[in-house]
Amino acid sequence: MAGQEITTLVNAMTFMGAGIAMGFGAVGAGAGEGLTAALAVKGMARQPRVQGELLRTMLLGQALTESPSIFALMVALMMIFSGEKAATLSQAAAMIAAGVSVGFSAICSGVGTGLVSATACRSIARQPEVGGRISGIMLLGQAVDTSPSVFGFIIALLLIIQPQEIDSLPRAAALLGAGVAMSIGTLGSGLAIGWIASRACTFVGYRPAVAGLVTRTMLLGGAIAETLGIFSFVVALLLLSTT
Amino acid sequence: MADISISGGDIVRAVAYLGSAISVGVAAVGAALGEGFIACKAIEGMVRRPELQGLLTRTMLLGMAVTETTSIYGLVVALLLIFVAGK
Amino acid sequence: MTLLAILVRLKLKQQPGRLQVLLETIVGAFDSLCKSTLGERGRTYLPFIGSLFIFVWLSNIIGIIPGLEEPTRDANTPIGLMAVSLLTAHISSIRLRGFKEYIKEYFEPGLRIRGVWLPNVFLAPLNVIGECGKAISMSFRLFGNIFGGGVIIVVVSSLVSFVGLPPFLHLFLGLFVGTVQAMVFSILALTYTAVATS
Repeated sequence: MAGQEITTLVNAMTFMGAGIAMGFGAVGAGAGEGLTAALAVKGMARQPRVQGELLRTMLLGQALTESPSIFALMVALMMIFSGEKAATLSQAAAMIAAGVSVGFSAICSGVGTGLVSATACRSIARQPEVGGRISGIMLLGQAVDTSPSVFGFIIALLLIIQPQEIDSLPRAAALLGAGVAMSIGTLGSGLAIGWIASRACTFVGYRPAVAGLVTRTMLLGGAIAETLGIFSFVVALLLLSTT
Repeated sequence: MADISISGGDIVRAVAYLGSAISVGVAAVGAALGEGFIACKAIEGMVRRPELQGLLTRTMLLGMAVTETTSIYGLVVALLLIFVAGK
Repeated sequence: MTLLAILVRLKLKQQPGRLQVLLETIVGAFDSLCKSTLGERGRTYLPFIGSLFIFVWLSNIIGIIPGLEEPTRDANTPIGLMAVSLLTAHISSIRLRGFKEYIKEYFEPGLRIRGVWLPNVFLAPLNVIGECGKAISMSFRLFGNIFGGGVIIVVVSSLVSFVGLPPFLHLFLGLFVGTVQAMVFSILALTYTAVATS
């Protein structure tokens, strides 16, 4: 293809990638934070005396749910304001892959973390005495659930920062594949870890005595659910290092 | 077809506009769903305990404001794409 | 921050002034937080977590004052803070549980065959990556929120001619988000330490 056309393609893909990154990156967090606030409001209706604690938990949970979309925002901003880029097909592929990687991996991380804080709010309303324990488990679960989107973020950064000098179709396909791998691979993990942690929050309210066991099991299950996302991460890294 | 010459810059701007649409549109889906759910639960709560409506309304608005922030990011990126990239 | 502490100390009265009450509330809240998360031992971490919060909080909020820029806006500050917090967590875990236990942790979950515990070699690198993921998410969460907020304010200010919006947004993003993110950061540091030393 002519040089002018490639530059066009590269720039076009950069902007499209930014749009995809932020668009899909924000969905999960929006839904998750909404879920959290909804159950917090319901909890307050049920037990108005814990409104202070519920409010704090809600805001904290929402702030953590927002992190995947912050990663997406950063990637989108970096892509819009990036300067001179290599005019190769690979660069175009890299840009769109970066957007897909961070955008899609943020969807389920956002929904998952939102699910955790939502159920935490609900449990606190049901059993206010165990509020501290529930908050602790919520924080841990949310922290683990952010990891899939961190992987997507790292891959996106790697895609953007390296100027892609190698101009060949296989390389372009590899870069695109890295983005796709990261995006689809984290869909499951994000939801799974969120589900695990939210059950942990619910049930620690019912039997606070076994909080230690519940925490350990949650982290264990979460780590194993995370491994699938890590497989995608490793494959994406391998694809990035091909020539 | 008539003789339309499409320059490279045009394509970039076209794609930038499309990207902007995706950014704000998809981002709005999540926030809309979330805020809808918040309002639902707020209404349920008020039906159960009408005397708490002040508290519930306040909390609902606060929760909605925080949920909105992510779609505002989507809006900002969309605006950036229109004005900065669309040159 | 030191100035603030000295100021309050000098003004300690029986009838606490507003500043003193504010600081006492913060200290008290973090004291109970540390105790509930880490047990009695937790009180030793109080100064660290408390000052972490106040530092991050003030750094985030400083942006409200026109002309001053938040230190957390630069990528290095949150990364440095994260390094300090995580080092504390890991070093505490080594000190309190011994080096062998610490290394063993990375091989969790192991297989138990007739009472003998086998390290799970497969999961070791994955656990390490998971830890790195936690570290990165902590620092970039703080950085992204503050930096992104700043960029958004600039963009909105240049696009919206309506005068009232940008200062309102600035206030919301600066104060609210700054406070919440400071809280998130310090509580996460505390929680990681708790998990590492349990």
